[in-house]
Amino acid sequence: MGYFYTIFARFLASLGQGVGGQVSFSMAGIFLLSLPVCFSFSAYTMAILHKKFAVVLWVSIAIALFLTMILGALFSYIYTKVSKDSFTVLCLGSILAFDAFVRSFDSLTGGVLGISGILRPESIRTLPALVQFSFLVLTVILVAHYLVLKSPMGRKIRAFKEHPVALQAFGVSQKSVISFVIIGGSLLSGISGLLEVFRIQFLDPSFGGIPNLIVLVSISILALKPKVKAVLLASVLVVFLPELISFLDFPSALLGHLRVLLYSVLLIVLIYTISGKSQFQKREI
Amino acid sequence: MEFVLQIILNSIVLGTQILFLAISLFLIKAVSKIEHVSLGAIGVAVAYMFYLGQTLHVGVWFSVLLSLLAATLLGLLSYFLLEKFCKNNQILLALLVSLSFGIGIESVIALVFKSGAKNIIDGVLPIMSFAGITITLPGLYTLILGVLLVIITYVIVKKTPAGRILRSISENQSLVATLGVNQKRVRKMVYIISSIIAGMVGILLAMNTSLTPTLGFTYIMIAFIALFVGGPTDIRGTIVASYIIILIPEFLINFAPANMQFTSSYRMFFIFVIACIVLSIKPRGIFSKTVRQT
Repeated sequence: MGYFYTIFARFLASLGQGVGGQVSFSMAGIFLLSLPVCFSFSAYTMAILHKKFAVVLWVSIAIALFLTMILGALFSYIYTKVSKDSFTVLCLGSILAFDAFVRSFDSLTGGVLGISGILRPESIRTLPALVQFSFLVLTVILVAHYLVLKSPMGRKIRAFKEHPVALQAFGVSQKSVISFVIIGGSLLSGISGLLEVFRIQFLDPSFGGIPNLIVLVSISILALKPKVKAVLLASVLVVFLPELISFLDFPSALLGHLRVLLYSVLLIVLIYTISGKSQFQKREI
Repeated sequence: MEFVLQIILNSIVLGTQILFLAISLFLIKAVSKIEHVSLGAIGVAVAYMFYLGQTLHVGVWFSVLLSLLAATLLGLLSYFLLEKFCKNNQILLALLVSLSFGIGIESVIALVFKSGAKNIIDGVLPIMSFAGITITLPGLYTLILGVLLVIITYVIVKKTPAGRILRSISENQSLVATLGVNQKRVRKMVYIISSIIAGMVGILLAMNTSLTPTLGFTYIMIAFIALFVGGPTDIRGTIVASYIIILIPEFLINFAPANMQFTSSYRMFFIFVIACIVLSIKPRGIFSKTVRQT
């Protein structure tokens, strides 16, 4: 039973990040590859505040999420300054930069050994309680996502991808849309990072990173349509499908690499399949 | 003084390795506008083929042949994967495919060779000393090959008909097609040549450090940053930026005040900060020039 709770908890964390990825990748066309950085950053900030500076846990969580939004605002600023290609490469570089920072600043982050013994809040101390809490949080996120999709902001985000100049001609600030998407996506990644770190109760430099990016991009690409159902189904497929290899008789040392290989092949197939669809082709104007 | 010269020499060696990768990226971006992130993984895969040859004791030249074959095959495979996106001008999707391809290569390497570090040269690296500063033999090879590569690439790109075709394709693919230039063949050749250069870097890097499946990703990201900081449309910018983004962090790490000691693992962090600052001020790079948009 513990295995299913664990998988479900992973699914809920991935779903939260997937919502942020769907809004940025599929709806806004912003290739926000820095979401794994926000995922790790919020977890590390909470752990450092609580364990090193003895800040109350819920206050640590609130401060971590606030600082993650600040980080998102920084990425939003960079997006407005550089070209799309440069931004995408800088986002990839930020994953390595954050990893380097975490490994180097070992007095704060524990370096390569990481931070262990991260306690969950009192009210969600057991795994089933954490899963229930995660379910509640994700329900709120999905309802908010549905409301945003149906609102004028949702239309502005889709318009930003199709024709940003026309959007501006209607008096909508591109910067406001960019900020909303990037800061919102960063916040959702931060929430997912906290849920995930409470599940594993341990942090090291490998938390988040490229494997997290691959899962996130797979969900975002699969959840092409701007619908809540799309991101739900995408998360189910991406999280549960590779679990099938756990039931095959492979040495445990190879399972991690097999999973990553499966994700990368899945992502290539997905991108090939959807690259001809209208959402990734610019309308001829 | 010797310490400063040693830092500069080490930075030039590392900068030259980054320059190799940056030139490969420049060539691919010139013909297809794609950021080929998996070149790092391709370089590491080629290095593993060289290591395999050495392990099987088939001789250096056969190992080189094996590596060349691996580079050609991986170059062709990446061309076939990315050509569709080049034709449809879906550059960012191509980046994602390239990233996935690179991660897939790293996973396959980890499955076949395991994740542990491998050494191409066992024991102590041969070194040369002069004027109080030392350089490893692989480092010396890197410098010599680097000078040759820069000269050859610069001459080809700027002075030869092949270079003119390359620059024409980067500016106006449709017009070049009407002139009867077979762009597919040009792109295929560029992918293969870039993979061979990346493989060369992989082998030189693996000689200096240990070979691990994920060795290539960090260096390809540094090379990308060098490409964009220098300006992706001018090879001079790529050359200069490759050295600047290595020299500045090395000086920061080695000459920081006593109360701010930085270890070498801060290098990537400093490179990222420099890139953010430079690209915020000059979004098209230091040596950028406006190219015709078609």
